[in-house]
Amino acid sequence: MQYLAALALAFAENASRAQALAADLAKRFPEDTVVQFNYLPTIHAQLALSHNNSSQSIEALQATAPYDLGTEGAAGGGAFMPALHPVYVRGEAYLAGHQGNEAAVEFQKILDHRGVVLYEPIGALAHLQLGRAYAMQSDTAKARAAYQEFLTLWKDADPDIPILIAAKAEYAKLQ
Amino acid sequence: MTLCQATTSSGVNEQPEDKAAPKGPPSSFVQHDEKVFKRRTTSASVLATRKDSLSSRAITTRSSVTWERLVRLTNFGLRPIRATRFLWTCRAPFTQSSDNYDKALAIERDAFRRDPGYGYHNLVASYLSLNRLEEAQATAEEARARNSNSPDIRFSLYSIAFLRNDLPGMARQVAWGAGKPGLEDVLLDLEADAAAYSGGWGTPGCFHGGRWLRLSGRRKRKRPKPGSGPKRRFAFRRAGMCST
Repeated sequence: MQYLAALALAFAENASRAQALAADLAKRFPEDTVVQFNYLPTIHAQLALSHNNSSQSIEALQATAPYDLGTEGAAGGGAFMPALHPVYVRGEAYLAGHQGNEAAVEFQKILDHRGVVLYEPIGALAHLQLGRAYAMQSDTAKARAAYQEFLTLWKDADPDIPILIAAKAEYAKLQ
Repeated sequence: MTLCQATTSSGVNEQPEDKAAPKGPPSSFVQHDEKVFKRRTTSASVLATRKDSLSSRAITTRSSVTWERLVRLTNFGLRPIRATRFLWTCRAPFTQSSDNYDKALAIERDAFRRDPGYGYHNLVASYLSLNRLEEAQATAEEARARNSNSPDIRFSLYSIAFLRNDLPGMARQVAWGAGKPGLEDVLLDLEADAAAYSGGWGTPGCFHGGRWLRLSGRRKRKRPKPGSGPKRRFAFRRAGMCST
């Protein structure tokens, strides 16, 4: 839970609180593989991304590479098991670094592992980010298909979510 | 030699059963008693000490997780059969890559063969990890037929239904958990996750006539805005989210 709070704060660009939670995690779980090689790098990568430092973000995520597709427990149970967060953040970092091809590879990993990602919002958002990656590569047809997939998934979404508003605007420009 | 090879080749059946662990059906992860967890962890640590080569490999290999962590990750709600425990503790490092999902499935099939009593849920999870929904469904249904009161299997059936965009299937599991302390809240949480997946982030009170509000004790203080609940209830119904 603390990891998720820290990551959410990092996404919200509340660096000081995210860093405080991350530091506490690092202090309390110095030998925990998941914390050290998944949670903390992901938080640090997102923080770097919020400071527009995509290369530092990608570098931070190098530690997670062996565990990218790992799960913390049995998927499909009642307990929430974060999965593939490093992959999503790395994809975002590549997008920020204008590396559309590399970004597409990352987001496709998420879409290829629906049974692992399950209910995680990144499972739906990966469609949008994949569309952005294709758009960056000027592959309009694939980009449009990915945007459509996301907008279909979020057809009945709360209308005031910023990323949905942005997605609709970007999709309109693709037409 | 991998950790699991070390484990399976070490003759796990030679070890006596864990007398300290509780008997009975597996409970859900979230319900598990902390004292039981500590007792099992301690017990497994003792075993790890005996199995010097295995434990040192588990603790020192960076591509693995520590022995304590392995036990913590995989030992919740499991029946106290040593052989299966050793097999199951191999699961975490094996699920670190796509290729290893196949290896994990092979291990879990073996564990299931040795002890069907607790192998179902994790076997289902392995099938899900490989997107093999038909086999996951068949395994979970078989488990339900044998023990319809297992929470983990119900949660798995909900997940399978979600992945298959099977709204009636999801509703069946929620209905089963209605009014059951410790289960209803978990299923409502899964419902909220499913709604969030399709962008329904702001209306938690919409689920099942506001049971979420009752469970959280907020019914009298705050109600969902008129029109917000039914509109977004099962927002994923029309989302077609299982196209991939």
